[in-house]
Amino acid sequence: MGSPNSGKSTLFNALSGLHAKTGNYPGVTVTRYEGLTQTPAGPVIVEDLPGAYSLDPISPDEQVVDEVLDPDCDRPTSPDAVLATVDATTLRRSLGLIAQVLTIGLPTTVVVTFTDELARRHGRLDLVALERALGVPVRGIAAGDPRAVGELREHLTHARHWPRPVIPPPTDPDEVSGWISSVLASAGYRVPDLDTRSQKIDAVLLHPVWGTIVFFVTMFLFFQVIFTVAAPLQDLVQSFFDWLAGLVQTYVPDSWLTGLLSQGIIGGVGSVLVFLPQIALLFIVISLLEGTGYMSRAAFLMDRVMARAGLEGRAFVALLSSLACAIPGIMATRSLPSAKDRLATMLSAPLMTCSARLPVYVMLISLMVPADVRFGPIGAQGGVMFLLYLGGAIASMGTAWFFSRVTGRRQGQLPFYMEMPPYRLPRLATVFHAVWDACAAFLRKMTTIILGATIVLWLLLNLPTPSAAQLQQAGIDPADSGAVATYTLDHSAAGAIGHAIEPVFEPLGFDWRINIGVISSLSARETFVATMGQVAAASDPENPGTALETMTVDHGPRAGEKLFTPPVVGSLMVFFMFALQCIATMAVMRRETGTWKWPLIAWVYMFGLAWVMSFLTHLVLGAVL
Amino acid sequence: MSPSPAAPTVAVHPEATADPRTIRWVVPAGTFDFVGAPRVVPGALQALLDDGSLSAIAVEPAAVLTTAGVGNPLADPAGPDPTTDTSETWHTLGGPVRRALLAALADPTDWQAASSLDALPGAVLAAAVEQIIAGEVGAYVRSHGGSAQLVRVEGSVATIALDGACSGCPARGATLGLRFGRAVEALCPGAEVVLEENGVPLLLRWGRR
Repeated sequence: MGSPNSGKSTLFNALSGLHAKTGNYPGVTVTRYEGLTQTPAGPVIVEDLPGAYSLDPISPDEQVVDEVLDPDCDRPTSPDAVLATVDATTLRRSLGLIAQVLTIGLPTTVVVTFTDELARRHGRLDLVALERALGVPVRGIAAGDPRAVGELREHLTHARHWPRPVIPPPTDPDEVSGWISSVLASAGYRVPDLDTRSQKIDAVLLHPVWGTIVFFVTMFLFFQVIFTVAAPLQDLVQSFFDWLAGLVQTYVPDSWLTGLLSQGIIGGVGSVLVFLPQIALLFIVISLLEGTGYMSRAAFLMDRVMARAGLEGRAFVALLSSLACAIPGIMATRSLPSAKDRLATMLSAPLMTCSARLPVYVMLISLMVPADVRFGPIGAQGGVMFLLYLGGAIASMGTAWFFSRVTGRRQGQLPFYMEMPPYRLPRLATVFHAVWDACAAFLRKMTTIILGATIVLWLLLNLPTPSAAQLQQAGIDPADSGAVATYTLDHSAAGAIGHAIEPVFEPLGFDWRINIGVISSLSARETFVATMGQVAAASDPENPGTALETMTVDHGPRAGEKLFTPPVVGSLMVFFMFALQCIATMAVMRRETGTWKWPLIAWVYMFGLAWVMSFLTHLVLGAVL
Repeated sequence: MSPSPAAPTVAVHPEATADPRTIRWVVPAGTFDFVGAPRVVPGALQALLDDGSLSAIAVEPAAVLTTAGVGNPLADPAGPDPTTDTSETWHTLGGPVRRALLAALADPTDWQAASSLDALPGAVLAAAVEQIIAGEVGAYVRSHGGSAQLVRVEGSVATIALDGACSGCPARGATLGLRFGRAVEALCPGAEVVLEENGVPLLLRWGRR
């Protein structure tokens, strides 16, 4: 256990070698990490407790830590011993928590982390003297030091016999502060120099004007990079799947199976997998920002903005995580002490532009904005993407503001406390892990929800198969595969659904084919791309790549016009910006709030919002363009 | 000066000693101008001595040693059993002693040395140097096959003699001077250390510059 950012999880991973089992603490929605570490005396179970600044809990995380360590709280998970991590560069602050832990009376070892950074910044700490002053074993550990981890494993075997302080630390706040000062003086602690480098950088990056400019430029460049770097990689993936589909069409005997494999599975999954490079890049950039320490500066800058939305700066971290995915974002709301804030943040998190929207946006942007349009050095496509992200952020803030007003008057403000870690060079391993986890999660989602949805959709799009008699009746030559495919799609089960809900989406400019996509995207947003891929392949099997661009409206007042006009694409984008189309997010919301009430409220609210905003967009763009 | 609620609490923490009955309370360096067993201690501590909770109190440079009493009311009424763990004693005694000590440290001038010898100028520095030689720095010298003794204390300058293996080492002035200097500074702020070898001072002075 230890404070947030004290190297707790790094140590846990080093001890348990990433074989962590995750679970939940009973009654609360705090994730529990448990792992095995092999010691000379056999395996030992280690548990990574959530970060806590003190054992006087103000957040659910701290509540859990308090309960797990409470000797009077009889639970099967009561630990035999405690490893308490403290960051050597912020030792004074951590010792308050250590004082509380030592009064509990469990065998404790204090693990001092970031000793390398302490030395680099000319700080000093005598670990032997610290051990004498605290009265419990103290071990120092520097980042990525396997030997120290080995020694710690060895040390774990004697946990029951670790020395304990003869006199536990005081509990009176004044006495505790005296105890801390005395322990630090005894251990020859010299506070590390303020990172002059970090200070100089902060002077600019935390400046109200320059900082904000840098923040927006950073975010903007971020999207430009994602577009320019990812493009060639995406072409590679695309051509691989085209080749695969070609193989299937060549070698699989011509039947419905060919269709299912090449159009349904390869076409559907392939059209989404194309975005893997982009998602990887997104997470590389996010974890680089995290690793360098810029992320918390951004949170600090945004604290003022968050305050306008009736939230505190801590909520920004949750919303920022939602840029990757709303699920970790919603989970990050646990660090918010007030239930009202938690709820408001939870409801606004799904409006942040998550990586699942990325494939949809990319596809829609390419339909609306030609790749070669530039305003000076800025690509128009990246610019539109930036606007979409900005729109999501504004919508999210508005929602937070609305719900923090609606769910009752705000309670007293808890102190806003956010660490500014020194600027560090990000560790490659950490970046790799973050990207790998994200890509693996994306692939898991691909192979379960999306693949399932894709197959179901293919069936819906291609069944019932029209008989020869039906085709003849419609005056279609059964040899003309394109015409047959179009007829099949028109009369398929999905077509029926799409047609049935046309009145709902008519004002937004969606036709029945887009409706199929929208319906399918309710399970997971990315399936929209897969569905449109299948629809395109069905309407123009010869040329699915350009099929969407050339698709025309097949009935009604706009018959014969291009389907994907700028107003339609615009309103689709806006619809995706607002709608809650993610089963997984709703499931997490249900888990975090403990009731289906809030996810349902969120779904209805966001659908309504999406519809209205989409309608307005369609109206305005139709009038302007 | 009487302690007011607003007065910052004195920085104090307990450390175990080789004798489980005795606790070393580390106090800010320079708190006392004497060493040894005090003749007079402030009321709160005196009360603990009177009721037998504590059997002895001694002052070191930058520390106060308190020894648990045999007949203290908090201890086992059956009398001390040498085999029992005394940590239990200190678990209950620790809080009261800490509070008494904090109150007593609010004005260290209320403490009086047992004899004028203990309060001689230089007595604290001499005790500090002896403590350092007996402690880690001395251990470091001995581990290199050398030895160190306190030669004399003049005012705020302590002279230490180095012998043995350290004699010929070119780094002795710097490393030892620095180690001794730092250690002495920690116990007696403002004191200085001079190293001497075979009666000849090494030309380096450490301490307050």
